[in-house]
Order: sequence, then C-alpha cells, then structure tokens
Amino acid sequence: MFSLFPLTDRIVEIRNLSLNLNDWIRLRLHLESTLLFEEVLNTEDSVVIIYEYGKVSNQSQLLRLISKFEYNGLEKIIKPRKVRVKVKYSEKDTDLSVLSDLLGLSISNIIELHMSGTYQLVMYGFVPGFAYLKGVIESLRIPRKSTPSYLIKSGAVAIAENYTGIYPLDFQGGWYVLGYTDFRFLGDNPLLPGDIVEFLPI
Amino acid sequence: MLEVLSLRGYATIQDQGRFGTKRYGIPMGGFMDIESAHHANQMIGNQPVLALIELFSGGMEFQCLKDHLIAIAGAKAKIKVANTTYTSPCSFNVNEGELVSIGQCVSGQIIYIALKGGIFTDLDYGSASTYLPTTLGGNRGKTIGVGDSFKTNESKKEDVIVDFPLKEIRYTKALTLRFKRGPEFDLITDQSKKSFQTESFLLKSTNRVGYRVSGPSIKATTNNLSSRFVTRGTVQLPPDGNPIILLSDSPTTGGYPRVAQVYEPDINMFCQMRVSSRIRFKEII
Repeated sequence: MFSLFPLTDRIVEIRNLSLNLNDWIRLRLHLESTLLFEEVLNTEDSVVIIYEYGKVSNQSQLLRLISKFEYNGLEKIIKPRKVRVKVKYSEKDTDLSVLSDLLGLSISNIIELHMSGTYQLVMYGFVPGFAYLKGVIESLRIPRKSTPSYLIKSGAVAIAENYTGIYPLDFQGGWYVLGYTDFRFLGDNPLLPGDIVEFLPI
Repeated sequence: MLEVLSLRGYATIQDQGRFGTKRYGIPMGGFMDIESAHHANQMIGNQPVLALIELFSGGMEFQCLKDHLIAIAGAKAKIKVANTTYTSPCSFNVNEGELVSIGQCVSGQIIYIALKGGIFTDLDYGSASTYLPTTLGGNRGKTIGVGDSFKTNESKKEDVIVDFPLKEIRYTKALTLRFKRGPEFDLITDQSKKSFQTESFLLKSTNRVGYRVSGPSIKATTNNLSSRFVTRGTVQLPPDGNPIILLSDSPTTGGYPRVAQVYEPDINMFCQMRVSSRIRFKEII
C-alpha cells in the first residue's frame, strides 16, 4: 500500500513498507521520466517529489502515476554503472585500531572485509557529494560513534551501520574511518542511486 | 561597484538558491527571510530574486566606487549615507565616493542590501547563493570580509526610486510557529507531545543551517532512523530532546525524527528572531 505524506505544499513523501531500495530507485526513475516535477529523490525507504515553485502537489495525479507504475510491475530496468575506488587503508589518522577492539577482528581482517564488499549508492545527503553506499557485511557493522569526531578529513573512507562512504570535505562526523582516497563523487556525470562502488586497496 | 570598509556582522551573497541539486546532496540555500529579501529588490525595481547581500546582526560600512541606487530591508537599523540618516526599510541614491554605514540591528537580525541591477558575482549550479562548506556561489563561496568589492549587473546610473510600499515589519521577542505534523510526529511520547505544544522554548542559537531551541526536553521512542528527506522548516528531534528547526542551508537528508514542519509563511519572521527569544509551537491541520 502506498501512502502519501505531504511535507509542505509542494513536497510529498511516498512510502510503502513492501518496497525495497531497487523498487524505490525504479519508482524515482519512472516519476522523473514524466518531467512533471522539479526534482524526484529516493532514500532507502521512500521517494520524495518536489513540485516547482508556485505549483501545489496533486495527490490524485500522483496516485495515478504510481498505480500505473505498479501495473507495469516494477519492470523498468536500471543498468548500474560500476566504479572501483582506490583506497589507502592504514592506521595513520584512522579508527582501524579502535575498530579492531570494538569488532573483535584483526586490522587486516577489517580491511579484507571492507574491500571485498560490493556497495550500492542509495542517495546523496548529509553534505554535498556525500554518497550513502549500502552493503557493509554483517560482521563489520557498527553503530555511529556516540560522540561524533570534531574533524574527519576530506577523502576519509568510513563505515557506520550498513553503510560506507567517502567524506568529500573536512567535516565533523560519527563514522569510523578506515582509510583515505582521492576519489570524489561530484564531478562530470556523477554516479547516481543504484550505481555500484567497490574499493581497491593501494 | 562598492567596497566593504568594515564589518561586524556575518554577511554572504544570497539569491533564491539552487534548484535540482538536492539529488547530489547540495542544499538549496538562498535567502533566509525571503519576504524581506524580495522587498529590498522590489523597492528599487529589481526582480525579487536577484543576488544581494544578506547581513546578520548589522554593522557594516562600505564605499560606493560608482553611483548606485540601493535598498535596505529586513531587520531595523540606522543607515547613514553621506550626511543623511535613514532607518531601514529604505532606499536611496549614493554618489560615487560616498560611504554607507549600517548600524547594529535594533529589531530583527537579518538585513538585506540590494543594489539596482543585482550583484554580479560567481554562480554555481545556477545560483549566487554562498554556501560555505563547499565554497559555492557568490564571493568565491566565502563570507564577505573587509576589502571585498562587488559589481552590479547594470552599469548605467538609475536614479528612479520605485514607488514600492514600505513594509514596516514589527519583530517581536516571542513568536508562535504554526506547524503541521511531520512524518515521525508519532515517535514523540504522549507526555512530550503535550509539552511540545503547550510550553515555550528558548531560542539558543541561530545560523543559516538551522535554529536550535531548548525548553522541556522532548522525548521520542527512538531518535536514530535511516536518513530521510529534510528541508527548510523541518523540525528535527535529536536525542538531547532539543528541537532543531532547519532553515535555508538545511542539509538534504537527516536521520533524526522529523516531528514537525513549520508552516511556510511563519518561517520568514522566525528567521528574524534573535537568540533568547521565546518560541511556541501550535499545530494546524
């Protein structure tokens, strides 16, 4: 069952407990292709519609568009791009030794588990160009730090819960840092939700 | 062209913000008090959304290196131009070489300084709005400092002051914010739901990302969720129980419960509230 939750007059959030991330990405693409909206975004468990200024959300139109999509059976296929991001894993300026204690794994084990994962871009958020990459293996999952670090350096490759990500700028943050990379998501033709990221140690 | 000679407040270039960039996590940005910013532009016949200077708390002096038509709106402050003193909102012509001096805000806290033609400056993703964390927009993405200078988009002298009504806004030290329930409103405990709507909150800090208030600690059954969409006006509830009202430089996603969404027409006035003002929340359907 889809439910529509208006956040403002021109922003509507769509929820449905039985959809997974790929469904949400497909629904976003479907709604984007109508060119009816200023922007359509997905998170892990929702799609958000932003109408242009001056327009007011139209719930019955939205429901019609969504139901048409259901009828098509979530068929739209995404062809994900894949990038391999080079990472310098090291104990210098990272949380690897802390993590080793917290997780009960050796440092080389942690690196091995992180670099052998395949991660899917869920969405951007938090700060510009910060991509939430989903798919951290169960044994590496750890809650965010209870007190965020005052400064995480630009390029830090970090993990928290089911996510890994790359800090695009110096910023405070609660994730655990494993290494550093020169890769940044924002540039020409940035990766989008659904695309795949893997990490390559250097 | 004008050059900043002294500055006490926090100033950036702003316009209507960025569109279509939330997909990359890039905030919309743009004017805080949209109504006052539009007012400043309209007083001198500009398009309402042209880039202008947004100044927190007042205290700025600049010299005009050309003749300019200038309008100042938003918070109330004394404005000295050559030998004449005005009170904002106001508009006036300045001759080449003359100084404009903006006093401290006496009511409200954000002043908008518009130049005829709009300020000509750097654009990123189609907007001159300065966003500091990733240095986007006007003035190379930096706050305005002493020695910075700005050009306008029009070079010819315009001495016609448009007969646009002067909207004198009264800023108060207490404000009731009307809100609609946010998607996670029901995560608030019953006791806290009552406190949220019946007690008053103290405004603790104000910046372009959001304003923090404190009062009765508002408890939620959980404070950590998967990150969801947030925007200007979203009220987030972190674990310490002190709500944060997100504003123009709001991130695009957040992981705290979105307990409320402030009714849009109330946000402009809220932006003008100073630290230690009193805020109340009132639900509307």
